[in-house]
Amino acid sequence: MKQRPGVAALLDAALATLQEDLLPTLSGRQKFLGAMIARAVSVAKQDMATAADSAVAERNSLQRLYGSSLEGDLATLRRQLAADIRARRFKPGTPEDTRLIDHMVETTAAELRICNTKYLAQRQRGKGAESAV
Amino acid sequence: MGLSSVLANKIAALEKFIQQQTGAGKVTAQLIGRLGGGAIQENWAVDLDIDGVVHETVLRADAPSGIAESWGKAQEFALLAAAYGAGVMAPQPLWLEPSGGVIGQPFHVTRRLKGSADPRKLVRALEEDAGDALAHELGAALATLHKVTPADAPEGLAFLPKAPADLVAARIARFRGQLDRLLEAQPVLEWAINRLEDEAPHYRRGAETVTLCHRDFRTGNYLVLAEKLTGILDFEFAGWSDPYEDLGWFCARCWRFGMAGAEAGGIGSRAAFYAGYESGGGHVVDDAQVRFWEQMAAIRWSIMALEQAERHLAGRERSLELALTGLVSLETEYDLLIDLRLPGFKPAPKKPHGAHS
Repeated sequence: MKQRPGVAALLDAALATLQEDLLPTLSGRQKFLGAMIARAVSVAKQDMATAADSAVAERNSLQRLYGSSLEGDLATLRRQLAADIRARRFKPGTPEDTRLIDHMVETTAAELRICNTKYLAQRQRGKGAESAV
Repeated sequence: MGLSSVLANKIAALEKFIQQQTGAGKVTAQLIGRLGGGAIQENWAVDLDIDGVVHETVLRADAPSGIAESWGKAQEFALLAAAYGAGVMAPQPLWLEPSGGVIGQPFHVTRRLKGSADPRKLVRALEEDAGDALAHELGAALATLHKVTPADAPEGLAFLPKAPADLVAARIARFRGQLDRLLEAQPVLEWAINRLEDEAPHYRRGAETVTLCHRDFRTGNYLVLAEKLTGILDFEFAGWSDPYEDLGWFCARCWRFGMAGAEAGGIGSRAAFYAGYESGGGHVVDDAQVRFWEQMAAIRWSIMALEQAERHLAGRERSLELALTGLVSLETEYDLLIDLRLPGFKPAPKKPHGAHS
């Protein structure tokens, strides 16, 4: 939308009002619902800010993976990728397999940056093996 | 209309039903309130005054749209009865109303146990020793459930389908079928499923290892009071399976509620949980088997989370909670991408495991 204040500023204001003015006055189930709304708004805000760049990055990454220029929307391309994985097109241990894993790690991390940066940071910090028993 | 208003209008019908079931002279029901943990089920605390004696009970009915994998009320009641009868610490099943004719949907009534099931509060409240003690208790309780086998099953469990001869292959086929029914493709899950399918031959076990399994045995599905276990809840997914499916589900990272270092359910150590299982009469725990099933658990939960979001998206049940659950799948997918490439998921052992390790 062209009209000021624009969508991003509206979402910012909505989120701040919810978190600073409304949530502190709520308790129990209402507080839980309020916190969920704040989470949803914050994901929408983050997605709006990064969606265009993420889509370009995902398409470029897929093109590198397939080694050719790709037509079609991302949902279709993801469907094709999923089908190729199930058909075992990427053999374990091959460079294609490595590129596939890099692609999946990067696209999943990009999604987590939108909806759960904290989780991503935690896993990237302590990504070692679990304890031995 | 929520079950709350439905129940409030059906108190007289409920009282009459309990009267018929018990043969009591007078029954008065008092609706205390809704209990937590109800994305799939609705649980209500109800106090029943039966001929002057007050019984604290829980009335449990299906949420407006259930998920395909869960049993209906009659089957869940039978599973609970089998577990309770085998000595598992669980709510005593009291009455079943399978027709839906009393309150508009099928329900059952169990005795109400004390304690809280809130997983986030629990994992943050427990000190290390108390957490290990609880993990030990839970291991022992799970071993008690796993003593029920198809050979000595009570008649009430006759409805349970036989465990597939190749359980891992059957689970994997089911995962792929579920993915086919989702609208969005899931490349990471497809990859993880392949990875586990490749490992599966090392984790295949014989039919003699099959027992009654809870199949949702995790933090959040048991009650704790003063750091002690008071009861195992939620038998709606139970069935014949490999006991390692339950052990792996409990330890899976996705059920640690942020306390990743407490590898048994976010509350304690693997060592304490395994020791409890062995002390409760379970077999010696093979850590590699548990870890394999943890990765199977991650896939199963990831798909369930996507299905829950779909319940909202398909308009069957408007719920922001269900919608947000779909996002949780991303965390588990990222976990799979890391864990399936690191030593945390141990490489397959050289030789296949025997029937009993």
